[in-house]
Amino acid sequence: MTTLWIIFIFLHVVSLLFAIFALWRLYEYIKRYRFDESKYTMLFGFVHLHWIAAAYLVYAVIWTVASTILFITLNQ
Amino acid sequence: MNTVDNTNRNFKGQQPQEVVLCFCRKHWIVIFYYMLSFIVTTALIIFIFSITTAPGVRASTSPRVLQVVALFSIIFYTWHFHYVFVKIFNYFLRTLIITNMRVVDLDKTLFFRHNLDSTDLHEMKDVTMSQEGILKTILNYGEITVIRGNELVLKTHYCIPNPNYHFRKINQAKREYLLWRTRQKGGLREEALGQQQE
Repeated sequence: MTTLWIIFIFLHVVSLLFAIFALWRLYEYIKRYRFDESKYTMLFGFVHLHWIAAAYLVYAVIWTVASTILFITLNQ
Repeated sequence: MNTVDNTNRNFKGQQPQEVVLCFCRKHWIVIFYYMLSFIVTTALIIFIFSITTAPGVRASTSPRVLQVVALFSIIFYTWHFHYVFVKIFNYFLRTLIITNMRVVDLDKTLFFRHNLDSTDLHEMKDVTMSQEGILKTILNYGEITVIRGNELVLKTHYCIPNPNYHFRKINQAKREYLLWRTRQKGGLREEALGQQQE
């Protein structure tokens, strides 16, 4: 395994752990202190925080997979 | 006044009899630039991916060089998308809260900050609203400035969406609070007079 692969794997492990940690921090806070959301408080009037949180986690995973495929392609 | 115990119910530091009348986040314009930068960097990373995997480029360039370019792009993009999402979460956590006792500017971030700046309604000398400029008028956001107590300290809340509504809400809360205090004082005075007469 080359140095580039080690850096690559380390980067994505840190990236996924950071995403999980950030979401854990977020949910710990919003579960403790709740607000009644309405269309006047959500982003653009309809985007809920839970959607953004889900998009973040999904995006982190998709990005890991996509960049791994690219890296494997370049390795061949 | 409310008899339910609301201690720390909606935000840290909430008083037992404090009721949240309304709250708002800043206008979405404050995170628009981050969203825009996210779109631009995503387009850039797709471009770099397509360049590095193009057969012509791969034939003429050493695989090691392409891997290094790809790795640096991946490092940059990974950092950037985490940064943008954390900014969006911070946007959701930062709120202006109008309660039946005070106006609270809750400056909370995901990791490093938790500031609470509150102005009691009876401390408020004056409240002003300003909405200047074409962008602010079209997108309906502006500033609300609270002039505090005897020291005449200004506290400005920037990028408040629908400032007219929140301006009216603060004034309404202030009126109701002052009325309640007057009644409380009147009640206490009557009680004291009653005790004296007894």
